[in-house]
Amino acid sequence: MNSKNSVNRFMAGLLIVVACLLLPTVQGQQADSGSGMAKTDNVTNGGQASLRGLTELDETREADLFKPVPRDRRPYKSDYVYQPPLIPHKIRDYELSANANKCLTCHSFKNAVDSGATKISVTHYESRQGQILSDVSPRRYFCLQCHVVQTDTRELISNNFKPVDSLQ
Amino acid sequence: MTFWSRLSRPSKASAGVLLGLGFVGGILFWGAFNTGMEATNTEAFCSSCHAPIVAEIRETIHYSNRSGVRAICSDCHVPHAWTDKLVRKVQASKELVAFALGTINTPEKFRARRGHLAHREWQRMKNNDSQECRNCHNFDFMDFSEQGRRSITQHSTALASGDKTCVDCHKGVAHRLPNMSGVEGWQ
Amino acid sequence: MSTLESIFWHVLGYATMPFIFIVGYIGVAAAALWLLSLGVDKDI
Ligand code: HEC
Ligand code: HEC
Ligand code: HEC
Ligand code: HEC
Ligand code: HEC
Ligand code: HEC
Repeated sequence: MNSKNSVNRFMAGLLIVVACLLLPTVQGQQADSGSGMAKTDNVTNGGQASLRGLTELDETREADLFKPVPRDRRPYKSDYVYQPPLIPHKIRDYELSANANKCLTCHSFKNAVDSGATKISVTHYESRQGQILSDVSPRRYFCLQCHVVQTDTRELISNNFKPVDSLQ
Repeated sequence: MTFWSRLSRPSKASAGVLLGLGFVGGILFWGAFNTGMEATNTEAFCSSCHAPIVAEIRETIHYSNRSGVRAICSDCHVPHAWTDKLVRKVQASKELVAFALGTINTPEKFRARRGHLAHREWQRMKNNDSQECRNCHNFDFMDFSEQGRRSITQHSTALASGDKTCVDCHKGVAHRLPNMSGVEGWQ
Repeated sequence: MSTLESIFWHVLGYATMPFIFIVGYIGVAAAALWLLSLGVDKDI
């Protein structure tokens, strides 16, 4: 009884000692492979400057400030026909999910008159096959896929884009 | 000697001592009462049961905004006038029962019950003309020249005439919404 | 909330106030009598 106990204890002690010896080597290996991954002496972006400027691949660029969103104003002019118009008002915290669509509380056919908002056009009721549905088409449900707020900021690259003749 | 016979018999202590005991006792009682009321008004208290909701509010304007004023749970859910407050607190004791029953203790159960709870809250605010909103947002001091075009159109008509109250138009100002199909004005 | 529920909670709510005051009074009285019983009122 007693001898069996002490054998058990000896085995347990041995296991702990072995474990202690092994642990540093395992950790060491991990540390090695980690530093191997982080070696990036020869990684550059080849001097390629993008709209975000020239940033090496292993650097994290400082984020830009948020662009101010103008508060409610008159609608923007379109630049071409069939352009999804820009949103001329703030949309902070407007829930757009399977549960609720805040945009439609003003823009739907039913609510547009009372809210004074532009009614969504019938294209928003069209299925992919060109069929007119009785409610907003699923492919037009998530408004922000196509409509975005305009921010009050200068253009990223100067350009001489002009609207089509008929809209100039 | 029983409590009642003690209470009904004159004490040997001077009137000053008796009054003093009553005075100090009163202060302690009132202090404890108020501390209790305050403690059950803190966000930490609500979050012990409503953790998912407390997480949601962080993105909304009532948590982070340019002026740094914020609304906590009790600002919107517990009336200020103290009789109403007490009624609401007593009502809220049923939340303890619901808590014990575990009506909203998993995300799935909460999602299923959320519409029901939201309707109750809208109804409550409709009944008291959105008093909690008005504690901070007073219509009389709204400067229309400072508001957006859409705000002016609605506030100067339906709100000014009393046809509608804040929560009729402003749902989900601090939370994600439940399924809104069938709610008036929503799809 | 149904009307019945509303009445129920309002009655309960308004009843709470006197209840709290009475309980508070009894609590303070008990504490005061106990204090007195340690001193001047030991023999009553
Ligand atoms: C509170 C009501 C309201 C809500 C909610 C609302 N809008 Fe509007 N929106 C308006 C009004 C009013 C106008 C028109 C402004 C005007 O004509 O002066 C407008 C204009 C627009 C326009 C421009 C239309 C045009 O003819 O150029 C777009 C696009 C638009 N909204 C998209 C959205 C989207 C997307 C959402 C949801 C994220 C949304 N709106 C939510 C009230 C609302
Ligand atoms: C797939 C892209 C797409 C989605 C999604 C979409 N729209 Fe549009 N929207 C358009 C395009 C394109 C136009 C312009 C052509 C037209 O009027 O059909 C437009 C026009 C509009 C207009 C102006 C209508 C007019 O008569 O001047 C409004 C308002 C509008 N959308 C609101 C919304 C709202 C609200 C939603 C979400 C329920 C939404 N849109 C979803 C593409 C989209
Ligand atoms: C003991 C846990 C608990 C605490 C603490 C708690 N609640 Fe609740 N609350 C619940 C439960 C459970 C429900 C769901 C009731 C039901 O299923 O009928 C609920 C429901 C609600 C509702 C839904 C409306 C209604 O009439 O039921 C609101 C609003 C609410 N709680 C606000 C708060 C606020 C504000 C606080 C902090 C002052 C708070 N709760 C603290 C457990 C709690
Ligand atoms: C700006 C006011 C406001 C604040 C602050 C606020 N709520 Fe609400 N709460 C509402 C309104 C309004 C509703 C009704 C549903 C809706 O419109 O989202 C609601 C609904 C609820 C509900 C019912 C279920 C649901 O999601 O609709 C619970 C529970 C709740 N609030 C708990 C809380 C807790 C906990 C806090 C603190 C973190 C809090 N509320 C802070 C206004 C507020
Ligand atoms: C504790 C005070 C307080 C309470 C109570 C309160 N609010 Fe607010 N509310 C604020 C503050 C502060 C702001 C942000 C002001 C700012 O910096 O623009 C705000 C902003 C808003 C906005 C503007 C949103 C935007 O995007 O510009 C709306 C709408 C609003 N509250 C509605 C409500 C409604 C509805 C209620 C009642 C359910 C309510 N508030 C209760 C303090 C409060
Ligand atoms: C008839 C509908 C309606 C009612 C009632 C109503 N509002 Fe509004 N409110 C709006 C609309 C529409 C907007 C602009 C769009 C938005 O921010 O969602 C708005 C905007 C706001 C804003 C932001 C103002 C700005 O332009 O920066 C605040 C704050 C606000 N409401 C508070 C309240 C309060 C508080 C009440 C109740 C006393 C109330 N509203 C009642 C429709 C309403």
